[in-house]
Amino acid sequence: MIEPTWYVVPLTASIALVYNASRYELPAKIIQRAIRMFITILLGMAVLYGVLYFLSVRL
Amino acid sequence: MTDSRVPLKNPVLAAVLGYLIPGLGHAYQGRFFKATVYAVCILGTFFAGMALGDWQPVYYRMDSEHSRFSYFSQVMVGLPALPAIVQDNRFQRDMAMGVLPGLDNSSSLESSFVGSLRAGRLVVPISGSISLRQSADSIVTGEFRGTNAEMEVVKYQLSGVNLHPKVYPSRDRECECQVVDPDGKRVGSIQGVIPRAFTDWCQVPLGGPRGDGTYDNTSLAAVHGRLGKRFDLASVFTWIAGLLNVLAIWDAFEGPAYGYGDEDEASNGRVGSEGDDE
Repeated sequence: MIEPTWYVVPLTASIALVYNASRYELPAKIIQRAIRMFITILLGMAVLYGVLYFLSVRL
Repeated sequence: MTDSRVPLKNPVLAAVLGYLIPGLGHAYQGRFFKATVYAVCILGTFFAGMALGDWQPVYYRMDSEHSRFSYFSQVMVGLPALPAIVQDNRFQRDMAMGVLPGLDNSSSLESSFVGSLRAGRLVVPISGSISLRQSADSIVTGEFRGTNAEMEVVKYQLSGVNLHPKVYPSRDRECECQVVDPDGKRVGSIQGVIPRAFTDWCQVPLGGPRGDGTYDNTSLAAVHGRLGKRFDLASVFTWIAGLLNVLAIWDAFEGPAYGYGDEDEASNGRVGSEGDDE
């Protein structure tokens, strides 16, 4: 059984692709911006995960 | 102002097609790359959510016990989520009738069966198949063939059947038949489940009002008990798929929000910079 947290990776990829496809027309631009957005979201969530993990260490 | 290089054709028709099947509006416009992106991502997210939630996170239910407002997000995926409306009507009709004797709308039933034989205090697990026929005057007869717990081959003559509602959010349909001897005298009963057709349980509301005014929430509790947070995650997937299709529909109707994508080069970075805010 896959840990549900990992489902966020394909979900983020989908969101990034669809969002950027709705912003631009050129495929190269869509893919370039989607990759950037995908990395930004994952890094943002990783940082948030780290902060929450740190805050809950002694709970 | 939409870039003139974007072939919107008939934008209203494209938006309607894009609503019914994600990506279809763009395919109609000849924007095949985007059509593929939308179809794969949106339908992929939607069906991944459906599979994750055991094909039950999408349903329409509005009553005083439970209101599924999130369906309005799911239904933006279009055709894949629309059967829930039909399933709600079918479910409410069957729930209002309750458990009825006899076969529903058919003169025969052939199905696998898993359950038990009950005769007095005796309870014996059995599995096999049942074959039932209903005469013109609604008398049901048939037989069970299968094996018991000791793997002995058994065969019982059956008379009468009580079937739980045809449309219900469960793969298993409860079934009870009387077992009779060759003279037609009742000697016991078999109780168990037969498989319910996919179209009779998928997208069916997880509970609802019964005919007597009470509410049946057992299937909602059962799904949450069986899947836990996976069911919530599955629901979120289907909500997101619906919301993403709103973006796709708008793109089919109006074109891309920031422009064609080459504005950075053409206007020395002025136009494309508004997309840098994500």
